[in-house]
Amino acid sequence: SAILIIQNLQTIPAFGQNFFEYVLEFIRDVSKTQIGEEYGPWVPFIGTLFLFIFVSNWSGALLPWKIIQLPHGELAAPTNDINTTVALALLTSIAYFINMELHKL
Amino acid sequence: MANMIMASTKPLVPVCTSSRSPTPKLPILQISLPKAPTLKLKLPISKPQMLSLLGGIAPLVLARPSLAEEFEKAALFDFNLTLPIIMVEFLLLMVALDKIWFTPLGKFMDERDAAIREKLSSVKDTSEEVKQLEEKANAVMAAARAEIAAALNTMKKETQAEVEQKIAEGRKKVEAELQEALSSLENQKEETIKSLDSQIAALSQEIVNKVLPTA
Repeated sequence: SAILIIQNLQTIPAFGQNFFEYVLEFIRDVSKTQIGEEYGPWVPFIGTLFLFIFVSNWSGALLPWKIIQLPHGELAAPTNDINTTVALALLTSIAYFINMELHKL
Repeated sequence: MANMIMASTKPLVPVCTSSRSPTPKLPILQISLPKAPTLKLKLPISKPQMLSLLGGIAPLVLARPSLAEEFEKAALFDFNLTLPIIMVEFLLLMVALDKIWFTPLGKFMDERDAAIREKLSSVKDTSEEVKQLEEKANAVMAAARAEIAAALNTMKKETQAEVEQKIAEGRKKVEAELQEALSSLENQKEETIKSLDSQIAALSQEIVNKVLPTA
């Protein structure tokens, strides 16, 4: 997973900024349609989930990591391991229950 | 890479192996057939484990406890220390993306949308002003037309009055001239009659003179 950097924000977006705005608008639209009016705080979590899973799956699908051989084991996409998927599932469950508690109060 | 290295390392649990050792023979034989292909397909296995597995299959009849240990190692849910490490890493990535990308760009986009909406609202206000100005222009045009009509009416009335006065004066002058002309004509008539009488006397004398010398 890579860290993306935004340098100069312009009123009329350039090429890179246009791409980043497109991705953020997509994530915001999905969050807004699925969660509702209180989607503001949840955009970073959902966006990171989307980007992490997207990049990991496609990096595993497009590149044959098996070419690189390691002494301990095979090199593969992060989502190839069950620890990754279970970690994300647990984080989502924790977020869900925290939100439930907040709404209960 | 670190995640994969740690994921590939699988710590052994001797307590479980010791608890599994007194299992009967027949269930092991039944389990061995379906699990072998799933083991190869699903899980990433390192080379020494693969070699140990192959070495375990060859003496199948003799070394049954070692085969049981191999199957126990290749479980479906083999959780280890990678799970919390990935959780922490994911949370750090979330915080980093939030601070670097989501929050600044989101604020920038919100500000830009607000500016655009303000401009649109100002456009609506100017459209209302345009309507008011058009109404004012129409009112001014109507007033101007009314004033022009009134001015035309007054000018027409004045000009008609002046024309009538001039026509009356003209008629009076013409009648006076006619009377003068008539009187002068009568005088000339009398004069011409007198001159005719004198001429008649002269002619009669001439006629008499002509007639008497011959007699």
